[in-house]
Amino acid sequence: MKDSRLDPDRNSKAERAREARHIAGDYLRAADSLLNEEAYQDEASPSIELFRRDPSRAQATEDAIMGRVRALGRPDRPPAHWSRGPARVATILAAAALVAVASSLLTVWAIERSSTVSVRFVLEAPGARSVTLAADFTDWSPEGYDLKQNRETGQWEIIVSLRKGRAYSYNFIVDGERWVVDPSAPVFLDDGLGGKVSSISL
Amino acid sequence: MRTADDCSHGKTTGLALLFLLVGMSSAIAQGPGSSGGSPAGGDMDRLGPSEQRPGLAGEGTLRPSPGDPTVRYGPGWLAKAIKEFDRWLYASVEGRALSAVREGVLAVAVNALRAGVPPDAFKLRLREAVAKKVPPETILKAIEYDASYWIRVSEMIGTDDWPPGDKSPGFYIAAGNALRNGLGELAVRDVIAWARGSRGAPERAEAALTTVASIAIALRADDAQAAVMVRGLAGSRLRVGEFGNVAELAGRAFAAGISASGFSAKLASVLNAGGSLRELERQLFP
Repeated sequence: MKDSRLDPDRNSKAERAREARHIAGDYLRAADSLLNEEAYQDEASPSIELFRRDPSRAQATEDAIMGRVRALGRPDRPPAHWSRGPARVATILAAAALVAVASSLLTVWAIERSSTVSVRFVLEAPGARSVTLAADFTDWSPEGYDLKQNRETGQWEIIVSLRKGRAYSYNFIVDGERWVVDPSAPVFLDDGLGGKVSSISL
Repeated sequence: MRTADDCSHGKTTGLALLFLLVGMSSAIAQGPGSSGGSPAGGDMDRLGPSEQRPGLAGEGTLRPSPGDPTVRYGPGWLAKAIKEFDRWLYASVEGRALSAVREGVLAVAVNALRAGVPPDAFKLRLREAVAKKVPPETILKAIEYDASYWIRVSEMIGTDDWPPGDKSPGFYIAAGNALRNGLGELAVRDVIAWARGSRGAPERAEAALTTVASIAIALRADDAQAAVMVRGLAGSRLRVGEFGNVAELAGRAFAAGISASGFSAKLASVLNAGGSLRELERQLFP
């Protein structure tokens, strides 16, 4: 509930501060007397005695704290013209540019994401020590395209992210020597080099 | 093992040989008594400065074949393409692996480049061949075959700006693979016509050619049937990712005793009408 003594329309700033101190003092005194009554009622709680406050000391502490705060002076504020003019316009433009760039990057990422697909290449090669994938999308280099053997199924597999909308040619290389086609691919052709090549359309 | 000096000497010899080859083939192309002009306007004044190199063997002979690369790619393309391929052939891992047949590969490539075949088609094919550890002599033979197919493809494309430069090596390779696997020229011509008419993506054309080449082998389809299938597939509403399913349907059709003509007719009737894969399946296996 608001104390009528703090009515801003009625008193000056200094008066209001004085009144506030008095009010605080009144509250502290009221609290102390309440604590004293409770302490008398309960002799078995001596710890409460430790928190009994002397109103004059509390006032002195409050004055000391406020004195220090006032001694700090007004906080530094940027000059008023900083919030207007070219600097403000530049800040707004920079923020707008940042938002535009971020949204463009997000759009590009979304398009890129929607135009690619994760493809799982699988080969059943019991007894193989290693299986790698070589394709036109790897420049026919198997480096970095090692298939891992699935412990449950025993199949060799690798997942590759590829762009949709075109066909890819590929082979598996078993034990680093044997170039084989993917038996599960629906399309395979003679590679013109004495072997065959699989093709997948995405 | 070759030292740096050896390589440099080899490169000079290679360049001299290459310009000599270009000179000879150009002279043959012009025929005896030719005044040097070409029907496509391949005169010296159309060539870029890099092609007018004084003091080299075959000076002034880097003229384009009638109606080919300079018309399609602009003046200066041929000399630049040859120079770039020559450099790659000497500097790359693949080129070093092919040292025994390098001059032969270069001669084949120069001839094809003159016909407008993109040098990257050679690079991609040679990478595949070297990665597969194919003997160099076999690679040379294979690349001769490929080049002959690519030259035919280039003739079919003519002076059109389709496929775009950066996509064209993939199309040449796909078309060459399809021709080598028995697909007729009619199918390639038809897919080029489709792409020109609809500004179709070269990647879609490539996928259609590869798929139909495989189907044609399975069903023993003739040129006309294959061409019908390529046109139907490329111009269909199917996604490229569904082309493989069409090949699977062809396999099932073959197992069910459906003939190539039956399959191609059903494919054309369903896909040309904007039908789906499911409709095609229903038509084939009611």
